[in-house]
Amino acid sequence: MCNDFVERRMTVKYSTIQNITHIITLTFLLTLAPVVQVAGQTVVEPGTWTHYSGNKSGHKYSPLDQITKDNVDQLQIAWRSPSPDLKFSDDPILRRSRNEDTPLMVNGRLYTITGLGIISALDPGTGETLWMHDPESYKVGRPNNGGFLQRGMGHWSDGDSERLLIGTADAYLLSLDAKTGEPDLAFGTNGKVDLTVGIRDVVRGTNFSARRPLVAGDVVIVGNSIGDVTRTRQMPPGDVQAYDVRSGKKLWTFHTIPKEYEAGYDTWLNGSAEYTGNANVWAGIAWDSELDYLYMASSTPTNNLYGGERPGNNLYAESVICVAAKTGERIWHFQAVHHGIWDYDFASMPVLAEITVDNRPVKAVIQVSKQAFTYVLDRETGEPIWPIEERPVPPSTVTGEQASPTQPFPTKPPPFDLQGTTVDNLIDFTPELKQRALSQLENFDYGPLYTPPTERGLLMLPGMLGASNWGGAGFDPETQILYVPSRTSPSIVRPTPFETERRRRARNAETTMDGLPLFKPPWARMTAIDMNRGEILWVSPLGNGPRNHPLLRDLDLPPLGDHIDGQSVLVTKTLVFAAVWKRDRRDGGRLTPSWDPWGDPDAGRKLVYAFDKQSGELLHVVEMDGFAASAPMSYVHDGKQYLAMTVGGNEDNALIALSLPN
Amino acid sequence: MTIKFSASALNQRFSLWPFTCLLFGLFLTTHETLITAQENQTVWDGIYTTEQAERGEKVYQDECTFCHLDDLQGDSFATPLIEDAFTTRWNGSNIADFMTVIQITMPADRPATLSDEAVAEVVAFILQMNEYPAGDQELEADFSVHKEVLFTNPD
Repeated sequence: MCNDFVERRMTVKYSTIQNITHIITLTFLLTLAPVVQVAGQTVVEPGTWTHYSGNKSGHKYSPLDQITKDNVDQLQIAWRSPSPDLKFSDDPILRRSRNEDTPLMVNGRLYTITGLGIISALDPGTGETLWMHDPESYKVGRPNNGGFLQRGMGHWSDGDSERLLIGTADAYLLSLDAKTGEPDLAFGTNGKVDLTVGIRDVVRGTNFSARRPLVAGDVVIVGNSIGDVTRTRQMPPGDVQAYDVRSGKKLWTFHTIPKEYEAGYDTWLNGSAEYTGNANVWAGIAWDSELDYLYMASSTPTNNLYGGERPGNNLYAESVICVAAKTGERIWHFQAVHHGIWDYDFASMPVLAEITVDNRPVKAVIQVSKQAFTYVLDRETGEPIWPIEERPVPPSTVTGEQASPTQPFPTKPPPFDLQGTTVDNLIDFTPELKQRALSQLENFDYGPLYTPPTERGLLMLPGMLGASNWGGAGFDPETQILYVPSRTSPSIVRPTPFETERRRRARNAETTMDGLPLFKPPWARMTAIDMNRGEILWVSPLGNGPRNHPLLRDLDLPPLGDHIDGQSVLVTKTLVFAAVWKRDRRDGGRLTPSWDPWGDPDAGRKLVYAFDKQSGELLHVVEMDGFAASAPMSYVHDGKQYLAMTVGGNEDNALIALSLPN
Repeated sequence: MTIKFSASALNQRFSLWPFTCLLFGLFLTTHETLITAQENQTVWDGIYTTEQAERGEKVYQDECTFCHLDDLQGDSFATPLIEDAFTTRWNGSNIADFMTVIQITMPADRPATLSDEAVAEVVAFILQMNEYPAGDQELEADFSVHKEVLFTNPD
């Protein structure tokens, strides 16, 4: 429904001089920054951004090179567009929304969507709103899991018509005319398709919301977010659904939890596929346009930390799955976690990459993970590029639970963050610190990666929110380097059986000592991985951390990494950017590092880090006025390169564009 | 209820004031709670009773511990309901908003299933756990009367 805020603007008419300037500039840019044309990856005009990750291969790469490693320190704010969500700042429920969109840039217009689901088109040079559409999807109430958040839209064009595809909090797929912001009445029913049709156990918004759609030719595919917090085992399954982009007609459903007649049903013993849910694809989907295959990565089945009511390996949970885009037929799958009980759901969009391994060209799909593994598979066959070994892991001590006796362990590349709560992973700047960490560890159960949760409380590393989370990785198609920002952040985990166990004990003890983490730094980092060789090139910390802490200040330590709650990446010709989000993900409030009482050098700073992408040298930190959660993007307008990103949480939500001074 | 004064009425020899006072007195008696929930009232003014908080503890155990934990510290998905993280978030906000957020969005897996009375009880428990003082008057289940009652930090 359009509200009073919808503005309709005719296309801006340019003067002749501006037209000539545009032609010259575009020609100049086109010669300098050729279209990155790689097999199977969507060809994108430089300076445009047609999906969350730039192209539909998950790269987050911009070939624009006006902003370089030599002038990045001159970046300044070009314009700032406050979020329309701010008009709800008096509403106690709606004022808490997350701002996590990566805007799109197509045909001279910037498109963005807010945490509350309000869509706008903006002038890329000024940030002025061209049109706004509020579908009022927030009226369904606060969605489960992340609350009010949106992480991007789909875009479709046939060269003439242009559409934006939106997956809403109240579980609809919307199609808007991108030129006007009006719903496409030919799509579904008055521009809406109901995503809950035919899915059991759905409570719209409360346990089931849509996630970012992907447009693959004339097919639009959408995954969903299904409530992680549940006291019942009966939950909606994570069906991935595909529709005709013009009519909204349903084309196919992929059942991540198989039906009785489908392969994989027998990996759910005792008929548990009939009531177990989740295993949804909330992470984002990639598309190989040549093969016309989709790549998606699924989450943990109900519930995150207890699988006693779903014995078996549980296909296709926590798997990388390849399906045909037009039919949804499964081509192959790879399960990374069997019978998941660690909440290690795949959180980020798969990366499609052309790499050369042992002199052999490979079409790869690369998937990073919460558990700090990078899974590298042949995207035609699903076969691992480097061996992935099934290795024995500890059994569960929880009544009724049966953990998988083995789990897959990639042999290359190495993990990009600490894995396992082990003595070797403990902080060890001094013997005293290490000794303290060791004795603190005795408050918990602990073990290597894939030690199951225990009743007493397992100190688990990586934690439930990962080393890597939804910010995922970026990929440089010119050098085949993968950039993964991550954080070292343990969780205390106990199994959470359903209705029978209502009480949950408190945490056993602190996971810090005088505010210092128990584990080795850097506690936030960017890792560069050479994907041709499966080797780590460099690791750089994100942030200072407690370098001035009384226990550390005499040791003259380098930056140790900040306490962050989210991290994302943009790769360019010479730079790799990391945006870090330092807000409490549960309510958007302030996130204070554990060492704050002892002094935080980065307190109050809202930073985007810019590294030399070859060396990992930190070249510049951009001081923002809001935390950027989602991947920054880059576009060109009137001959000028811009970086744009959404920032904030609650009261300072905005879309910001940066550029060089004139 | 509107009371109209006019200049001519005030000037009349027949004074309306006794009548007005009587009306005002009636107004006060029937709207006692509006008087007790005055402006500038805060969480430090004994706005719940101990007995109400005990009933709230039962509600909390049944509906809230699953996510917010026994010690109200919360975890990856649930916010803390105690100490700095809680008091910082709500400082300057009012009790009515707090009750509204709970009533409409909680428990996270079954929102809007608590009665207004249960919400008031669990709020009383949370106030007690944060060591705000108890008083003689129960926290009203009618959220609207608490619009002016603020969370504040101690002086």
